Amino acid sequence: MQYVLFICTDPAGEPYDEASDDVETWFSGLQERGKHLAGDRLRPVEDATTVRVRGGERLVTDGPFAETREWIAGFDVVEAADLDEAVDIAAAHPMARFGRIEVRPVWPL
Amino acid sequence: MRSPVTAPDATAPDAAEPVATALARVVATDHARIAAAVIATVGDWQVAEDALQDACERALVSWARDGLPANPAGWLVTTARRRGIDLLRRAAGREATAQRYGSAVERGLLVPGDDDGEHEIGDDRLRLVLTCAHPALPLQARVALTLRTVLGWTPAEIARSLLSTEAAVDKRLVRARAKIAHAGIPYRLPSPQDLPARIDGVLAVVHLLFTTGYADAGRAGLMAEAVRLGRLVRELLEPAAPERAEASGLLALVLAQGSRQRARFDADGGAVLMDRQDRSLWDRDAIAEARQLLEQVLQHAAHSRRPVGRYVLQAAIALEHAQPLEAAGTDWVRIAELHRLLDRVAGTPVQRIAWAVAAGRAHGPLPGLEVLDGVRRGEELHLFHAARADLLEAAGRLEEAAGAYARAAELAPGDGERAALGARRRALAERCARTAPTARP
Repeated sequence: MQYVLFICTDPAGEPYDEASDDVETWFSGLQERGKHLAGDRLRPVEDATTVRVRGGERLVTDGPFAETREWIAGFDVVEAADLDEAVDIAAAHPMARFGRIEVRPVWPL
Repeated sequence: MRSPVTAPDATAPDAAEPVATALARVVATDHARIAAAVIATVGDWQVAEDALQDACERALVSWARDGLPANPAGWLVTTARRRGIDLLRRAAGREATAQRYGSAVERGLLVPGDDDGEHEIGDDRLRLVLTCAHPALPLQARVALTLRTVLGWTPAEIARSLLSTEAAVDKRLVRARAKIAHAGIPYRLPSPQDLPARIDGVLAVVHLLFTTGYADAGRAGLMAEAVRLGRLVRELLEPAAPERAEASGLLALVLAQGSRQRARFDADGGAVLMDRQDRSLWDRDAIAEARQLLEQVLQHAAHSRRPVGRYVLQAAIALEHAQPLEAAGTDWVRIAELHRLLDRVAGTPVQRIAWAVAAGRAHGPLPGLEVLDGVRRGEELHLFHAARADLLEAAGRLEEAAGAYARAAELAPGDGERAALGARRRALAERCARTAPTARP
């Protein structure tokens, strides 16, 4: 199964510590096992643009669609046998400590 | 008291009653084993549920016609497996059903099992219990799914026990089964390093069942089910597994606390405090079993030099309360010491308040008040003020005690408790008036 990991900030997370940010190790480990399909960081919400079309009219606004203190800082698409494996992968990501990670199964069309 | 999964069909009126009873008995005693075996073959929980319902309906007809099979549980498993595979094959061809069952088909989970005999249904119950309590499911769904799938309750029975409606319980169960399929919650044992945390999740469900039943006399049946489930979980774990200590501890805890059930209420249904209870009504067999379990765990722990967990400590405290034949025989020093240990392992505000009460009984009001000072956000809890009032009164600080009783009564959630606290306050006021006639009552 494919899962998307939404890497989120979290004001209640552990304080960021560059020395223990092992995201590179996390990434290369998954790559070696062929589990990492796609992913990247995202520019902060200041650079976000929200688009809606209502009654044929296009509405473009500055900012994210939800005003919260947490925002999505990155995403990864991973291949895992089941939710337990996806959760193991997510738990090993440094942002599980500094922020939080939402694990969502991909729903293929 | 348990009813079969569906109401009996009236096709064979004479035989229907004993057959329905036999089916109800099989479902009540063997549901976990049956459901586990069907899920293992079918893969999808909703298909398994529907197939098992169908098998129960067929059993009523078939057993009435042909007599009871030699192995009723095996008969149900075989019939439900066939039905489940049939449902899945049809689902693959039909859009609407495929929406519901599709993911399991697509993922190739559905390898039809070898055509099982009616005797070998194996034991998949640990997998079943662990999946029902998976942390990715909401707590309420874990409880409902455990009651339904492991213990064989009907949605109507679950609704009565959880103060919900049958429709709401049904919805919750369907939603939980859908998440298992869609999110890929696996039906397998977790890795050894994950097992303790996952067993903790199962024990939390057992404990919740118990406390829900303990808190409400109308739902006391949940306590017996908690004991049953606690027993099952313990049996399913290897004797040497470290998780088994906590499972044994929890079983001992629910046995020891449940042992007082017949003495906890007076004839009018009012609560009777522990030191006023008629101890001859306590269930001595349950207490003896709890004690035996606890002794085994403590021996093991001493042997392996492993620290004991919170359920073991809570069980030890419950047993200290349950063993003496008179309230005066309670060993408060030991209870206070056990509470001190428990506070280090799993301290909660309510637990610390209980420690303060025990410390007060064991060592006097001042040490009790000292423990109470450490309760996090205690001011918000009526139990905190009630304990404080009691300790202050014992320490002779009567005006402060009167204030604490008043605060406790304000915060008390139930009329009964509020009335009891009000009575304590009035008694205190009388005492003040007697000892110091000038003091304001």
